Amino acid sequence: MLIDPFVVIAQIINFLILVALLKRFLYKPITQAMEMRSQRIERQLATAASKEKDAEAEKELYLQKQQGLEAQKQAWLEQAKQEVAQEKATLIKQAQTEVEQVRSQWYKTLEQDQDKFTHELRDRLTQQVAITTRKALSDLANANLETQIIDTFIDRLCNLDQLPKATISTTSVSNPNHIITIRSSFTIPEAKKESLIAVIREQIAANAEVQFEIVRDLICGIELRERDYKISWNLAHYLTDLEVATAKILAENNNHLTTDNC
Amino acid sequence: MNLTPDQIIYWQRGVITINATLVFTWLVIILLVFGSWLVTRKLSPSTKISKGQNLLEVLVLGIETQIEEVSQQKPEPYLPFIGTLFIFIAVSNLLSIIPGYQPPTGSLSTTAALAICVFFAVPLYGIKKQGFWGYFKQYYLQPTPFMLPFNIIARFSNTISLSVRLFGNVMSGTMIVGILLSIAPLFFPIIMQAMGLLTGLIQAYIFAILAMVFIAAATTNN
Repeated sequence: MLIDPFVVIAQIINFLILVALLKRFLYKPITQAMEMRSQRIERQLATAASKEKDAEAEKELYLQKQQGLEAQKQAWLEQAKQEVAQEKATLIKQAQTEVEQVRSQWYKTLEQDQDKFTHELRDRLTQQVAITTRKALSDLANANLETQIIDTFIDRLCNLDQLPKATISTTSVSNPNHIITIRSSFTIPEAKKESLIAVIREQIAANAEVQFEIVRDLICGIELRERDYKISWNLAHYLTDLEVATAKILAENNNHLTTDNC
Repeated sequence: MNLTPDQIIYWQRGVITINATLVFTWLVIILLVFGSWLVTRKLSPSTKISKGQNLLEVLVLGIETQIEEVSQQKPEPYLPFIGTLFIFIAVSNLLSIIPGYQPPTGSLSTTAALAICVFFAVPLYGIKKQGFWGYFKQYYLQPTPFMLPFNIIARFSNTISLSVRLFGNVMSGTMIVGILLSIAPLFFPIIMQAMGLLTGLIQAYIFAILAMVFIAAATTNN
């Protein structure tokens, strides 16, 4: 007999016991462990999803902040550029103004120097011309400069035009105590004074009282003054012409200098 | 040569007989329970697990998947019964690689006992799921009540076929190895032993799947 009833029953019992034991020691723990792991993974996934969501929100927030900062940076840059442009324009204007002031000052100084130079030149020329003329006259004609000036002046009074002569005469008639002043830059000798008085009374006014004055500013010259009328001869006229010519040359040089600087 | 391990008797008093079938069954039971206890006493719910836990999880998950595919139901109620059938038969057959080992499944008493367990498990699961009348109508009165006698015969023949198929396959494997050992002891027994391992696993799978099919037929309306 291949089937033993006792063994069959015993095997049934053995199998049922094995089912119970494996349920206790295998299936239950293993399924619980798998379930716990599954729940844990689900929790981790949920946490990860939540963190991802938070991270997305953070990312969005930071992106917005970054965009805001970028816009602010651009605005600041624009503002800075405008301020720099304004500052540049102001500085350029200020520099131009300062340059203009310095140039004006320089021109003024230059003109002052020029005037000073011209005056000094005039004085020096006067002195030099006087010295040279005096020396030349002395050497060549054995004549004194002042004497020659007085003689020339006397000649001029003798050859005076009718209009000035009439004017001075008219004045003398209306004023009996009329005083005619002879001003010179040097001392006139007594003989020449007599000659001058005689010529004046002869040519201009017979009753005129003649006075003599020494004026150093006349620059080697002599002049006759009667109130508002004046007859004179001195080097100042020649020197004025020389001064005008010199000033013209200097002005031309200045123009050249200005053009070169520009 | 013994046709069945029932014939190897260690102790006997009256009807109570302690033979190789029972002894090796107990050894398999001890091995399975001790191995399970050894692994499951330190289970880890994290993703870092031991090799033993990994092996058992793969085994349990595979059984659950097979149950779910066959029954189209949640596997938890059937896992202990079907899983134990598969594991017990598979381990009993695989251990036959050890010299001197007598597989309990090579005993018709063992396979009959397992088939009887299936025979009673089918109505128990069916009645639990559908109630007595629902189970009876579904399982015995289909397609018509006139088929009741044939359905009853089919239930018994299922049980007999289950037990005889397993017994025949395991017993024949053992017998073939024994015969080949006497004819060509050097090479062929190894091949047949390897084949025996394969057929042993296949038989365990077939037994468990058929049991699940019977239970599924009793627990579903279709």
